[in-house]
Amino acid sequence: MKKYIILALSMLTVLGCTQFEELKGVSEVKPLTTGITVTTNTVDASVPRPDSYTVRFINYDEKLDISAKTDATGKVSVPNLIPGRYNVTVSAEVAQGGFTYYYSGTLTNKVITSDTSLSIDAAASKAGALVFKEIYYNGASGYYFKDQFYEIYNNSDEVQYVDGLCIGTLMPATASTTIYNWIVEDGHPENYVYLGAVWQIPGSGSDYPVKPGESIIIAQGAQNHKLIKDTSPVDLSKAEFETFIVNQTVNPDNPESVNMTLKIDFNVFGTQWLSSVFGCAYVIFFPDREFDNSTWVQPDGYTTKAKEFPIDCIIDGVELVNNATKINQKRMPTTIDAGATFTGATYTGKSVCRKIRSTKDGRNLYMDTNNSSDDFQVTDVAVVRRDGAGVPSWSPAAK
Amino acid sequence: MKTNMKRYFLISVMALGVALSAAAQGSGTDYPARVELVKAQSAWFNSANAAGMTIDPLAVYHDLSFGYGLGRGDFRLQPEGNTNTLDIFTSGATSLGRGQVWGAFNYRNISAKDTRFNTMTLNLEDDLPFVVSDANVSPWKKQRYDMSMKASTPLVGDLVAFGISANYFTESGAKQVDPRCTDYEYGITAEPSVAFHFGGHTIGLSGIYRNGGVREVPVNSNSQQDQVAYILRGLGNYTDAVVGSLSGIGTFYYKRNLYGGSLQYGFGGRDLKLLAEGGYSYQLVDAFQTPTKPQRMGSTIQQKIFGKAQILAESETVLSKVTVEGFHRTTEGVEFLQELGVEWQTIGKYIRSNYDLWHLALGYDFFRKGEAGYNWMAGARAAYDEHNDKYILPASEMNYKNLTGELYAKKNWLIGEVSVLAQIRGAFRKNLEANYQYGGAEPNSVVVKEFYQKDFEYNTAGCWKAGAGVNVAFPLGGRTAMFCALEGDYLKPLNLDSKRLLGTLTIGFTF
Repeated sequence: MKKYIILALSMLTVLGCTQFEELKGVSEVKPLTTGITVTTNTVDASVPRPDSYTVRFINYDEKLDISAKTDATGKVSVPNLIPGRYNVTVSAEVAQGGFTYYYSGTLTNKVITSDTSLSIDAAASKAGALVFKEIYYNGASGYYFKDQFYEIYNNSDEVQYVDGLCIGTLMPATASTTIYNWIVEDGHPENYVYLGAVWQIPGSGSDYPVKPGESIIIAQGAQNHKLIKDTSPVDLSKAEFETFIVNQTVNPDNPESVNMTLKIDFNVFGTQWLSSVFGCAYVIFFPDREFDNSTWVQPDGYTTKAKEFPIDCIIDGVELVNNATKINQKRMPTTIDAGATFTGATYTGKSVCRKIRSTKDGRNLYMDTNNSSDDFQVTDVAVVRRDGAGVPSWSPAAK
Repeated sequence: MKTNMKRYFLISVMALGVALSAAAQGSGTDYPARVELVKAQSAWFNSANAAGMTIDPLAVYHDLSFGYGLGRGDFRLQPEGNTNTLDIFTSGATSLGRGQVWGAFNYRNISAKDTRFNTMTLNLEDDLPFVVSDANVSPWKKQRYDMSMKASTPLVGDLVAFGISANYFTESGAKQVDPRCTDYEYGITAEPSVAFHFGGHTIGLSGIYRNGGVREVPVNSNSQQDQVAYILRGLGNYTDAVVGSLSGIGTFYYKRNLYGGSLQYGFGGRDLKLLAEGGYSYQLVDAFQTPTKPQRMGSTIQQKIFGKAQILAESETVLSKVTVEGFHRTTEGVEFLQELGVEWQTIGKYIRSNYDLWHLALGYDFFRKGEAGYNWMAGARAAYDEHNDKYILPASEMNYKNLTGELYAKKNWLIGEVSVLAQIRGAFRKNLEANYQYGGAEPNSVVVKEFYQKDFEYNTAGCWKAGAGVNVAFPLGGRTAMFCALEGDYLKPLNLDSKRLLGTLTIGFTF
């Protein structure tokens, strides 16, 4: 018995020594300074340059958000950083010739542990005409998720036609610590998004006009969900579009709502389009090619399938993650969405919706800085066409 | 748990058997006042060196008690709650040849209501910030088994004695409202010691090794509703988290190791005993998440120097005892920067917080001996505590200094063979300095406003306490007495609208 006690104490002692060894050399934290240089190497010379850029260092673990303005040469030194993992964003906007150009650039998950210098190349884009206005993805109490919907809004001054518009979700379907290194033919995986599901609005090109200030609703199922599940906050029976797959008692087809076409289904949906209640990364785009389900790409070392689409054809995108702890697991390229948003919990009836930036001629203009951390807010309850969004004349909701 | 219960029950029965057999050897009744006096008389028993018990033996005694306690009122730390406790306690000392053995066992069942801001921790420590918190009010259920022993050998060659102290405890518990948890904790402590005795002088040397572990499993009863939680990092700084869903926090576990040692010097004259000791300990606690893919949540490095002196002047009729003790404890909170590959890899580690505590205490006890142990006793105690805590970046600090004083007296009436021991006590706490400045990113968060700020107000509130108790003991034959004790304390802060009532009812035996 004595032997065992001595042996046990000896083992605990050795383990204890290992524990002490692992903390050897630890020192007190010191504030760090990082120099930033903003470049615009990929922006055409004809596009106007801003006087300065806003640089933000966002550390989600530390809840640290430090902003600084660059000088005219695009340089700034940012002090008082805590060692850690940062998303560094650069933004600026310039108005010229009736257009607003947005500059954005990002370094994601940049680990800063010492004084250092970083260079960020900013890209320029015009404000998107169609934007996600509200996304209700996390379902209602009682594990009810058939009431998911996506509201897409015309944030421009011109009529937009949504014929052929696609909505898709990036892989992986839920934010994950697994890092996918996609293999593409041209060797430039950074130029694409990788979609596991794509639905397309049918139409000839002029069937579904959406005027400025109007929106369309894409429903998983175009039903009055309040009657089906009393915890559901929404009536989607007048949704313009639904992601209908197969007619079932529990998933009936609503003849008033236009059925979208499932173009890519690597996620294997079966009878319904359930996008993750934990939050997908969504994009809308007009495809630059015909759909071909016989080919796909895969990440190195994984069997996951996806279809690659060029970032250039993406109109808008929103990164949704489970909660604040998952923001570092972004899937969306930062040129589409430099941030992420979330409701924080599943089956709460809450949604995320875009913040109003200003009003013009009686219609709302929504924030679209390509950073959903800034552009979106969490609602207490999902609402179809909140804040008075217009209904297209051809919509069942207009009848 | 049932197996453990049986084991502890058997140990208790065995301890009681040993105690009863030893009781049969003596004469006279062991009233509770005598047991109290016995413990006060032995300086070495109240030190870290068990070997010294051979030189300064603890008189033979045994006790067994069953207690019920309650705590009510809002003048408390929020995680503490309003408590109901059940205790079974037994202890005893006896001689083994010329050596000595002492042992104790305690089972405690705690039901706490209205706790807040403690999601998963059985025993919160003021210098271990890496715990999970939430704002829901919840009950807690806990039970703890705690065993201690001290043993000393006879003097070898009339010069040296060897000793060992040991403690082992296990505790389990669960929070009762989402986000809830199931917890298990253990701790084992071993303190080998040696004492060299020559003339009236004794020099002692003791070491200490402590190993402990905690496992905390978060869970929601309502799996449809994720619960907001906060992974605390010190002085109001925290990381957002949820309990539930795929992304919820995983099992937390802690590893604790402590090494230390102390030196003693004792002098034992005819009427005067002196024991002075000083020591040092070094402790490391590591907090992790998810055992299958361990992620470091923080570590603490604690260093402590401590000293204690006891002076006992004793005659046939009186015992005077002065105790001076103090320690300086400094703890560094280490946070890790990690990234996930196949496993979590540490890419940076930094001391982010410091927790510094000075504690000094002076006590004096006077006993007028009597037939049932003592006729009366009176005592006074004063203590000074100084906390200097800081979060380095972003800078926050919490400092406070408290002075506490207490007076108490007991009178023992022997009415026939019935001992009636009555006591009164009064205490005050005066705050000398209080400062909490939070410099982090969430000054209006519930963690800062509701948790840290309000517990800081409790810790720095001036207050007074009044208490009284009565212990009635009846002889049962031989040395055995049965006692029933009732005690109560009332605490009232000077500037807060709250109060606290504490009470215990104990029924037991001394023999």
